[in-house]
Amino acid sequence: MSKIDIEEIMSEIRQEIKDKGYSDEMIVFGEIENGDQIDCQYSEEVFLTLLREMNEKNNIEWYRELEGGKLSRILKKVVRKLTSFLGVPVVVDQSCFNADVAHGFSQLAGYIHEQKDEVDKCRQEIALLEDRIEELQKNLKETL
Amino acid sequence: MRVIQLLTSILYGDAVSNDTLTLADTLQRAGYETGIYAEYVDLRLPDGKVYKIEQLPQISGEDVIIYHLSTGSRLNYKVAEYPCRKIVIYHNITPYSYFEKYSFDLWKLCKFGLEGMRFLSDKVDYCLAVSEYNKADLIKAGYSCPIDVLPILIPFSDYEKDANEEVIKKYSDEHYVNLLFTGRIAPNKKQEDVIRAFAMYQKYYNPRSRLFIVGSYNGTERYYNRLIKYVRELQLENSVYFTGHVSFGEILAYYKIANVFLCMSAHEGFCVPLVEAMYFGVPVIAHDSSAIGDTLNGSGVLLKEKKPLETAGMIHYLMTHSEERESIVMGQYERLRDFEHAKIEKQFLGYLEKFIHNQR
Repeated sequence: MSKIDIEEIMSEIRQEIKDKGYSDEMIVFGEIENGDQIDCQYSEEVFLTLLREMNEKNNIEWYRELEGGKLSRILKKVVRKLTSFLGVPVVVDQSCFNADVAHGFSQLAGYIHEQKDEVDKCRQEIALLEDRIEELQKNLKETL
Repeated sequence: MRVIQLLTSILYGDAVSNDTLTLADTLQRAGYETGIYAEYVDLRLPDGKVYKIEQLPQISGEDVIIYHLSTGSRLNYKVAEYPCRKIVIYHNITPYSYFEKYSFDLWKLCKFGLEGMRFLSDKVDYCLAVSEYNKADLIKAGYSCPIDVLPILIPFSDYEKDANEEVIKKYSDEHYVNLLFTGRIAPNKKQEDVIRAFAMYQKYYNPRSRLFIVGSYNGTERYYNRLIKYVRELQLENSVYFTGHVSFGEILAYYKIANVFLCMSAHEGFCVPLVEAMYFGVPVIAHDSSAIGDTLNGSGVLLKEKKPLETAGMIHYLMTHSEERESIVMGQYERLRDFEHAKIEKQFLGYLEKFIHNQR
């Protein structure tokens, strides 16, 4: 096999592009917005609903109702019993972790609420100060 | 005298980890007393192969530590304290500027890694760099000890395993051209440039084409989301496939259905996927940056300039000129011989012997 001359091939390609009038005009990656890591709009209603569900559903049960026919349920019970030494501790640990996460999020909700109040207070103060500035500027103008 | 390998994390299927495990087998067969110790050990690895760093026995002055340097870690500093001779195998650390817009954690990790790499510059006795590019990086960082180049040991026998039949069945289609890039979704790998070249190819040369971007976006979600938006803007949602993390069988399948492997990375320390593409007889078109040229070493198609339209033209050329395509693939098979296990193992043992007998 003869060695390929890449530069010669590239020249042919460039000529073809020129002859056919191909253009590389196309949206570039730099024009694409680099969004937030989490691509979603905050909704207090959604957040509080999810928080409520987290608090209600964080406990995982190892022992739950088994479905199927009589023989199938007996078999499943035996399997569950035999593997409970492995499964139950994992489920308990997971439930504890879930409860901590739910509690953490509740703390976060409380913090958000406090911060909201602070922000509202600051906004009010800013509005009052802006009014005061306007009044002072008006008085100054009248004096001059 | 023991020859002990240390690294930050040893993971299942990771290039650095595979290299470490294969070197361990080499050392054992050569009669060295050896072991692997890591800060984090993937539980999927077989028992008795790797131990946690806390289990490292007392190191004596006669021992040799081989440290795999590839990321930010406190171990980069700790390793200097061991009272023995040290060899660093440098796999490269991505410049942290690539992560500035996308991940503070990765930015911090890479910065920490490069600081650690510089810290070790006067504290190790010998270095093995996996590419000439990596060797140059070490020299720039102030390493004055002897440095040799030793390519990564690649587990070629793994590529004989079963490929996922479902992927092959779904995408093997002689009427479609399949382009492929494998590797983590990461800003230094410039997947946006792969997408752009593909967009040009589909627009001007072949509408019946697909691009598979195979790799995990874990940790780089922001960059991944931006790529998704880019694909949407270019109206390529039905032609560009982001697979995310897939099984090894699926990775093999994507290589088997690929017609061209396209790499536009701006920074690579070695780029194992290039060698994988060579193994599967997939012609490689790659942008000449960092270690890409070293790994290809004259094989494949190495493009000096990154011009998406010309890259698209080259894809089309390879798909329409079978003789030239075959020649490229044969050239790649020729280059592949340089990565044969026996060759690299012999090289490694030779370097180690010389080092142990103070000839390096």
